[in-house]
Amino acid sequence: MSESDGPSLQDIVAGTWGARYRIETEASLRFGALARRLEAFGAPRPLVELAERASRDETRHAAHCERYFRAVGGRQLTGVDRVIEYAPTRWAEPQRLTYELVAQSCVAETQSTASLVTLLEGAEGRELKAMLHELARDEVHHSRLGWAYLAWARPRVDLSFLAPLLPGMVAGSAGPEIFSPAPEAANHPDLLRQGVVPHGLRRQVYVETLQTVVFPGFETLGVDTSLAKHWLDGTLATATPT
Amino acid sequence: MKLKKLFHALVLTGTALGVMHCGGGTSTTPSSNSTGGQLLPDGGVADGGTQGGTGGMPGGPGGW
Repeated sequence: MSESDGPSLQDIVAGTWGARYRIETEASLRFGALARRLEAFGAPRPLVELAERASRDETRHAAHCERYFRAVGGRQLTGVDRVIEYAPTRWAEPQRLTYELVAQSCVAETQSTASLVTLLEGAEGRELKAMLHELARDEVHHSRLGWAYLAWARPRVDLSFLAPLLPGMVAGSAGPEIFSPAPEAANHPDLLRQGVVPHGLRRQVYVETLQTVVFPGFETLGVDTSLAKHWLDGTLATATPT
Repeated sequence: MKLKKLFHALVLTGTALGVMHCGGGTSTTPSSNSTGGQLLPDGGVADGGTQGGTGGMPGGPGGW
């Protein structure tokens, strides 16, 4: 595919910041709901406060993403206005709450922190760097919430139910496009300067974060990751080379 | 790449926070009527299992 056949660099930058706006608005609502559920479940006050803080942080992050989206020429922006729950509603609350916190904090926020750390090294411009730094600082706390919750919940909730669900959870966090062919512009090195991780590097960061942070984290807390590792190996074996 | 440092910054620090509070909580009995994310400004709850999230696939929310 020639570059003229695919999206332009500007399309990709604006599209990425628009997608981040959705991610942040969704996360704000989810953390707000999770704070109330943590409190109802009897979680320690510091964990509830971490979730409350995360909800406020994500609202601020969404505003940053919207501002950057507009600055790079983005036009139509859609946010998330309802809590999206990933765990089946037929489950008991301890399992539902655990699944949601693990998916949001241990997986998605950990991956976001890794992406932000990567972006901090390549972004250009004082304003963009300052924004990325602010977001990275916050995401660290959002991720810690999940690991803190698991450590607190471990004596209270049988966490073994998570093991067979991890492949779907981590695949959901990545999205299907990360292992699919990407347009040529999606790998342009100039993307990093504008706060976007090029496709090939994004896959690399995602995989390395699973292997060096997420999977060892679950194992530290007694959650079996063999099925998730098997899924990752199989996915990488059939993925389009970047 | 600074990813290995993230294990300490995120997992170990977070786990330590959870362990520190392992003996306590805001209450000792989980609420039986906790119904999840239903206390929303618009009262809506979307089921990601059927509608998917911004990550593009059911199973979990997307990240950066």
